[in-house]
Amino acid sequence: MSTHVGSTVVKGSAARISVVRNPTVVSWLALMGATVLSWYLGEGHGAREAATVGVIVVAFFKVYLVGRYFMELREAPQILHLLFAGWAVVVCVVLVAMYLTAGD
Amino acid sequence: MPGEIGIWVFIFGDMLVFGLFFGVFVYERSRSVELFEHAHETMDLTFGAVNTLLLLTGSMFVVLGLNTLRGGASRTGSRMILVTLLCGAGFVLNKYLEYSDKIDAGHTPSVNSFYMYYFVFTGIHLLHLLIGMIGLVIMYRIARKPVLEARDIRNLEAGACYWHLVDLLWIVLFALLYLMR
Repeated sequence: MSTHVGSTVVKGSAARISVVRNPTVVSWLALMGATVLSWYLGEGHGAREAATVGVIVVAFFKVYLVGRYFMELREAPQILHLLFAGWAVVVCVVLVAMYLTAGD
Repeated sequence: MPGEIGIWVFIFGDMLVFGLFFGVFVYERSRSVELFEHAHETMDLTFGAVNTLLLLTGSMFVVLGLNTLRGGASRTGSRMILVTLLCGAGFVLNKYLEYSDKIDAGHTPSVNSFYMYYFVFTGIHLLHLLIGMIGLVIMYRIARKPVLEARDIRNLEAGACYWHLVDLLWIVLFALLYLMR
């Protein structure tokens, strides 16, 4: 009886460790956390300009995580990974620049 | 490469078009900052945030399902695709409630350019999502096959990548339409 309980505990903890170490689950946790952070910034917390720049940068960081871990670009040909990351960086920089120069 | 080259040509083409949409929105905002800020105050962030969380969760389940199915046919794998489909349905329901709320409050596309962009961009995105849901139904049928061949896995990967595209486009739309101030 005690052996059975012991093995169940070991199995359970092993399953927990594999879930915690699963890169897909870890990226999902990071993406959820980043969403809550940008939601907080968008709701009026922090200096307006800095908060919006933060919101845009966090959004493209999330986009990169989706590409790297969910679309499996980290295992894809490098050109695909570079094109994807390049798009994220260029669009992010252009949007931040347009936002910061608004009204000039 | 996940899926096939064709799906990646489509994904990058779509990303370029949406990149243009994002640029047009921020440019127009920079020309009428007051109008956009005033209109933004009427947005309910919760609708956008809940939809982001739904899409991210759906995306995680489609990856977990795909990884399970790579090891061979499995009920767990197909059920995970079903969870993603449910997340997509939740997004559609939430969008319906949000659109109804906006229209009831008189915020229609003809009121101002903020709401015109809001309806056009979220509408085009919703169309992408509905196509993605059809893709998920096809993926579910493939995942239920007793034996999965290499071609089946490639088709599952292509469908999953398209679903992630729907997810990543929404992440930016959420930032620009709901959070930017």
